[in-house]
Amino acid sequence: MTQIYDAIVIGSGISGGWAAKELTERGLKVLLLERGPAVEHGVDYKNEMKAPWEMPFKGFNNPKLLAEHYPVQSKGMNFDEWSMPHFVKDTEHPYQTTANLPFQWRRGYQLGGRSLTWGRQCYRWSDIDFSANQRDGHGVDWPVRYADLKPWYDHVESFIGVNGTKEGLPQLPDGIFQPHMPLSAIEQLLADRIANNYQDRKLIPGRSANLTEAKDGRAPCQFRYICHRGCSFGAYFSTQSSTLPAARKTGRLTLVTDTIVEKIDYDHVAKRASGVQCIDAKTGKRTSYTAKMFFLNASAFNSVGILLRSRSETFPNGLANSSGTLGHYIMDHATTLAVAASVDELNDRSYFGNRPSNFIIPRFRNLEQDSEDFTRGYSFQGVGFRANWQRGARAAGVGQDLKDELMQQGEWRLLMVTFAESLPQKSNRITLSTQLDQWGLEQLDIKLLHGENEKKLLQDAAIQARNMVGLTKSKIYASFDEPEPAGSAVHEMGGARMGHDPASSVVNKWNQSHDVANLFITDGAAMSSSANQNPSLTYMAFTARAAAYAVQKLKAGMI
Amino acid sequence: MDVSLPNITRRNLLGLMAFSPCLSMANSIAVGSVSSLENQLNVLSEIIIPGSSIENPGSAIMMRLSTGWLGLNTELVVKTLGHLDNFIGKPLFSFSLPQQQTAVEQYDKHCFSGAVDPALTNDWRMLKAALLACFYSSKVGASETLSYVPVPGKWLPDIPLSQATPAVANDWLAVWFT
Repeated sequence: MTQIYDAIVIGSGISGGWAAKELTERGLKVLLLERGPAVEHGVDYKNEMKAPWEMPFKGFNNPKLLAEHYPVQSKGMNFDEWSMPHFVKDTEHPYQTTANLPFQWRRGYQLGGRSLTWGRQCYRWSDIDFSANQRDGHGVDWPVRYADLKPWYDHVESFIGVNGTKEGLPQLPDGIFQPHMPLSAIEQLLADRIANNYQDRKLIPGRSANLTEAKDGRAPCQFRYICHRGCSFGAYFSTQSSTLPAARKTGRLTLVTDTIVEKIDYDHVAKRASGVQCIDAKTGKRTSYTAKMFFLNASAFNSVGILLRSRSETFPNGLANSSGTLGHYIMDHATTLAVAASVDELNDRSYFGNRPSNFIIPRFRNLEQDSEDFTRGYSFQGVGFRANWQRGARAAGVGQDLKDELMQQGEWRLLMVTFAESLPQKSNRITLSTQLDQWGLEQLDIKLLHGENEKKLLQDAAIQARNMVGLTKSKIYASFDEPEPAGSAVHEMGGARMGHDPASSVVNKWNQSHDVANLFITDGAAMSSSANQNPSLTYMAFTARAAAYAVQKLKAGMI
Repeated sequence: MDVSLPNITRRNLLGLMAFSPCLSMANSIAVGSVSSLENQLNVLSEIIIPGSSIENPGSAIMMRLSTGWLGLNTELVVKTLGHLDNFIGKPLFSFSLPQQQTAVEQYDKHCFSGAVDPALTNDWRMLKAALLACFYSSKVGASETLSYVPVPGKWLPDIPLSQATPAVANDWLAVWFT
């Protein structure tokens, strides 16, 4: 078999797209493998422009279909009748999990992966986050600090386009931002009340990967907030809108879709990964590809699954698993609706447009030292909006009076969702099940349960959220302090964690396997802690950094 | 909307409507055919949202009823229409439109009065919500009654409410979270 590729990138989602871009731009011939079908920018966003009356179920979907084929996917944010093609059918892609509080694995198997449907919130991690494991002893110490990542955050933000405000907060470092999307009137009211009543916290505009200025052939946001259908304007960051065009532009990218990677081959003589064994998702036909090095970006848990399946004489428990930690210490933010309220103020004010972002109240707990009750912290993401016509079914009223009233916007509402840090626990793990999928591959068995610390964080968060919303003339109609089932945040992390010591971690500070020098794991699998911020920006920064390192080493003959 | 109206009895309603004292004690409406249910839903929709029957919500619901669309099923629809008839004392659809409007208005108040079986309220709410959904997701409801703005092109975070009227049907945050 002729080795024509310098590198193989497994997975075309957020981090895989970045790996393909960086490696090709640095001169490598790259094969990008995607297990799902091709979804070409603009062309394949089938439902993007459709109005509700053009949809088979008027935008409210077919409950019978969802119950049969999408019981997990359909409960997630950004899943709707329009975006359904961007999510897997649960029936076609089964996994095993705990019966009690089953893990909610939200997935999109197509070109671009979940970059098509992600929440687009982009937050840098700080040294409060990178030093957390060392400080309190949970997990292993990150072998990197913010200074290592900062230039790569700059690099990524400059390319993808992130809007936001500079705030000077040590827990949420500022970045390179396009003009922000301002707070709505009710959000600004809440921000002002918080500023007047608290010294330790601040409500600020969210930072999202939606352009507010045109960039590199991509149009600015049109304020439709239907990003998850795919955006032909290219206004939000996705593989399709951003990294894939860049990689293709080099002329060094080969993209193969509908190709599932079963395992990575290991050459025990050369002590290197040598190739990938693949299955055609449509025909079942098997094939293989070889390359000089490999970037694993199949999404955190699928990357772990590929490694676990890549058993060999040298690595009987999974490739790159001499530490025995592969599959362990998986995480997902503990999340819940901290508060939902109606607000009886600013009744003569409103807004126009659909802002595809939110506000955030960055972490304010345990910035200096841990409290006695819990360690680490949480942040809030929220929105303010006015109720729509659906309120008409929740109170008495019929006829012309009702119709006239529903032509007006309803009362203001405020929602705040907690994102709490998930501690790395060994008992939270992925193993291979004896159950097989339709291609004969062992399904993943995922056990991830939130612990007492996560619950205490959410309890404190609910109290704080109610107190803050209580600064307005409001009526709280919901407030929760129990975590949603793990997976609900769609921030899977860990399983192939980064660390100093090969005996207790899978990858080094360059996302390079301790055991296999030409193997890089740069998606969420490599995360050693979860912080409380949305992690995708950090995956991108790690990926770009690792690619630069890998190319340098490859060219130096050291890989 | 007034959610604190006193409970109204069937006797009050009948007096209000000057109905015959000969009451039907049927526990459910006679369902002759799917099309009759469809017609009844259209009439009910027209009463709740005048002008909405042009979008044929009865058909929209009936053709999707087997899927559980909008939380509905045949039993719930039949039962709810039956409760409405029982409340009035005769089939709603045997009266003139003004009488129907009065009856539905009173039944609606009755269901939201807080003095009835919550299950009854919930069933009525589901049906009412479905009829609203049919209309406000239709072209007439979304784009001609409310405002449908497929490409806003800008974000104005603070404007007078008068400039936001009629409400935007595709205010997605409101659609998802109201």
